Amino acid sequence: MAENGTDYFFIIASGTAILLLLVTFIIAFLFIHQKKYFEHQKRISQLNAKYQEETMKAQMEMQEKTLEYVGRELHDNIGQILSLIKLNLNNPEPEQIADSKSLVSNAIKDLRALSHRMNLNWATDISLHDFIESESKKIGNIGNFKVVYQSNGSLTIENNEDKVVLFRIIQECINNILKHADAKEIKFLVEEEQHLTILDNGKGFNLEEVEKGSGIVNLKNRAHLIGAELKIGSEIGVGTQIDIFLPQT
Amino acid sequence: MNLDQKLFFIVEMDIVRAIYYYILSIAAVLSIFNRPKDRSILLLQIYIISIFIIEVSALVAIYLGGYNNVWIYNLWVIIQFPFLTKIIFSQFKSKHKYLEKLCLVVFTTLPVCNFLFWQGINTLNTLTMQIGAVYMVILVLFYFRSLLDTPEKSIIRNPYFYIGTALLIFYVGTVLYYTFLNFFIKSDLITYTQISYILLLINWVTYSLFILAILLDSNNKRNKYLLKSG
Repeated sequence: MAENGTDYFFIIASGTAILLLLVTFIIAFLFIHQKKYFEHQKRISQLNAKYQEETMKAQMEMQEKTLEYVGRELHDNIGQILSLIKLNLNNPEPEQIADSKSLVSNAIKDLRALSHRMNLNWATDISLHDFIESESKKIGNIGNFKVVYQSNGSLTIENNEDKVVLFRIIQECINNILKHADAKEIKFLVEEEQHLTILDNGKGFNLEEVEKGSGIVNLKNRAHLIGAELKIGSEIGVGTQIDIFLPQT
Repeated sequence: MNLDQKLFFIVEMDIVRAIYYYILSIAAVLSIFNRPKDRSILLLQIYIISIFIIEVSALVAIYLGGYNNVWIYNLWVIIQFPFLTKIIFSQFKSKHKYLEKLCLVVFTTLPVCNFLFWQGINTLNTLTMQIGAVYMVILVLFYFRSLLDTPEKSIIRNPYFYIGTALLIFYVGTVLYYTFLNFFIKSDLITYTQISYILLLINWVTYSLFILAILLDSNNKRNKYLLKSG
């Protein structure tokens, strides 16, 4: 009987110990998971803050560019037209008055165009296709480059802020080509859905050396922020290829 | 314990057993009226209703004249593992379709074969229970491991965490109980009955956690609706 009692004690004690261990395991698991959950939440909010910061930075840069453009337009274009009108009105012959009227019309037209450019919500009205086309035209107008834009697929970004970031990425790529590539031909290709390729036949660069700098890292980070992937390939003497894979909608 | 009290409607039983039946009844009523969108919660509700029917049938069998109701419990032994396999596998982020099918085939064939050919209809299928309980403990531990890889959602409001916890407690208890069952049966009946109360207490915890999981699912569904409507 005594042996039986010891056995009972052993069984009940070990059973209780196992169940207590189980409860401890569940509580510990709950704590570990909650810790991981809060760390994850913290990481997400940090990423969100960084994204907001990058978006703000991109918007500020765009505003600066716009203001720079407005200042240049006012100084070089409208200012020049007004000076001409002033000169004409010093000697108000019918011919000069007609000329001045035409100049005033031109100034009004230019101011309207300028006002349209100053509208900060322009990103909502413009599609990615139109943006790339307009950038191609701008580069083409410089006259030193052959610019090709071929589109066989669509590029879509629903979020307006993401769109602005992508515009900024494309402009940054163009700036880099204009500044450093020494290229004769620039191609913008959309050969499949949500995939944009920017190609140039410039002098190329050593990717390993350049990747250490912040320019490419920034471009990749910006792409990452909007859920896109940016890949760069370059060969010295051949040119550079930038592939931007946008998130599937 | 006073066994003469009629604690569960017209059936005489002690308070520990009666509380178990009341908790199971609440879970069953909740399962009948809750309309889940999640297929796995629906499976859990069907499982709870099935257990309720099996338990009530077993009670009716005793009430009608003390028939051997072991075969009714053996039905529960057969149905539980396929149900629970489907519920737990539905929560793995990377779907293991082949493994799930294999587990389903094994834990449907094994209990049926045991029921028909080995331990038989009128003996409690302890072999199925023991092997199945070990399998369920391993499966739930794998599920918990997978939860650690996905810290995106808090598990406090995740109904499946409570289902997993319930199953872990229940089947660890079951493994212990059936391991020492023969030892208890050899001892005197009073001690055996007292020990079997531990299994009833584990059942309290299990079905209470199932109730909590169903309520949480219903609450999450309502919150989603409120968020959508605005």
